[in-house]
Amino acid sequence: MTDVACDLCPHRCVIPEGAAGDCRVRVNLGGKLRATTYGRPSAIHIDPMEKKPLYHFLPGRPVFSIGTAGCNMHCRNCQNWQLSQRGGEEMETVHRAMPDEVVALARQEGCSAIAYTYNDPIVFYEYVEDTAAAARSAGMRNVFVTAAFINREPLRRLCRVLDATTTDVKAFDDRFYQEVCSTRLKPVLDALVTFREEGVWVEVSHLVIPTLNDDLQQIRRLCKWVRDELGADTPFHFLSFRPMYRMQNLPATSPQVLEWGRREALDVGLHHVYIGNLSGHEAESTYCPRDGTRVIQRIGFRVVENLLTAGGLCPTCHQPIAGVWT
Amino acid sequence: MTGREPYPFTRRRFLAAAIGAACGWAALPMTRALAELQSASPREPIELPLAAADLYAPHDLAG
Repeated sequence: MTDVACDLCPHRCVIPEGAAGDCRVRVNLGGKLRATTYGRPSAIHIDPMEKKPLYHFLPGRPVFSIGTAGCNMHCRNCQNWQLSQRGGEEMETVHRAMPDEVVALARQEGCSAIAYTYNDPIVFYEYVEDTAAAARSAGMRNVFVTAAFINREPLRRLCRVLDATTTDVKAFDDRFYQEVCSTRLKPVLDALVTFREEGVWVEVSHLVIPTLNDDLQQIRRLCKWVRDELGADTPFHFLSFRPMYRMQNLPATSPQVLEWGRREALDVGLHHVYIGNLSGHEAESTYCPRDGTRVIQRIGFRVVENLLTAGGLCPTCHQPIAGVWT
Repeated sequence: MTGREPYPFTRRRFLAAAIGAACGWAALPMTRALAELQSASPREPIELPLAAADLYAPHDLAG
């Protein structure tokens, strides 16, 4: 009987033969570590890029999105718990989809990017890596939607085939990470810096949960950290919480709290601060940080108008707007 | 003829045999279902080809 150590994420599970790690999907079979969800996505959809959310990366484009079972976080408020808090064998249906097949179908459907999303793609790392490499070869981009609880070395390696990430920072509070998500904060912040160093386009999302992480001083500290470590041009998305999974005892986030948070973020000096899950709010649109021109108008996940010039400049003052526009 | 005579197959015995057979037939699916429930192996997910994915179906998954 040989135990195996999984070095992918900071849990660093030591897995006995026949058992799975904390994520439920990386298992020890005959003394070898196996990713049981390789080529077996449980969710496949074509979404707008804005849904990830990514607002400064190929706006308005459809993105071929896949997710599997399992997760290395166990957030009590998880919106996708039917996928993330199950092992592969617990799913009702799975698809057989090897990397080349995913890329071929994504191209056939007119998608210029593939997103690894829904559950945390860290736990299907090898599948992401192979699919992303095939997508790159086919001239497509790769988007990684994650909570970024991953070790630095595997992340650096994966960054070679990634183009953009939406990284969800759950709170700027290690205790929150421990109590609500069963993880820690520091590896997440380290991963964000790694994304930045490796040239991956980064957007940060932050779900504001009443009474747990809605303290404005904490939000201000998070925004300062983003400004100093990732840059003031990093898009920041405040997301509204909805009662879910094992956190049904709290109300949805009030729009006012999201607006207060946004004001803090702008006050700290972030240039692009959004409010999500509140369709029709003016903070869904992109504004020029120099003259305030609305350069991309959105309603929900739909781009209504995109006035950016070729090269991503403000049409009135010609200020470059940070992002990957083509 | 030596030995016992065959027992006469009366109408009453025929009816009893027919009812017994019908009850056994009806109980068979139930017995099978019970046996399946008692078996320890979990149900495997249904595997579908990629072509069966409904790519544009509305969904409420985050991300």
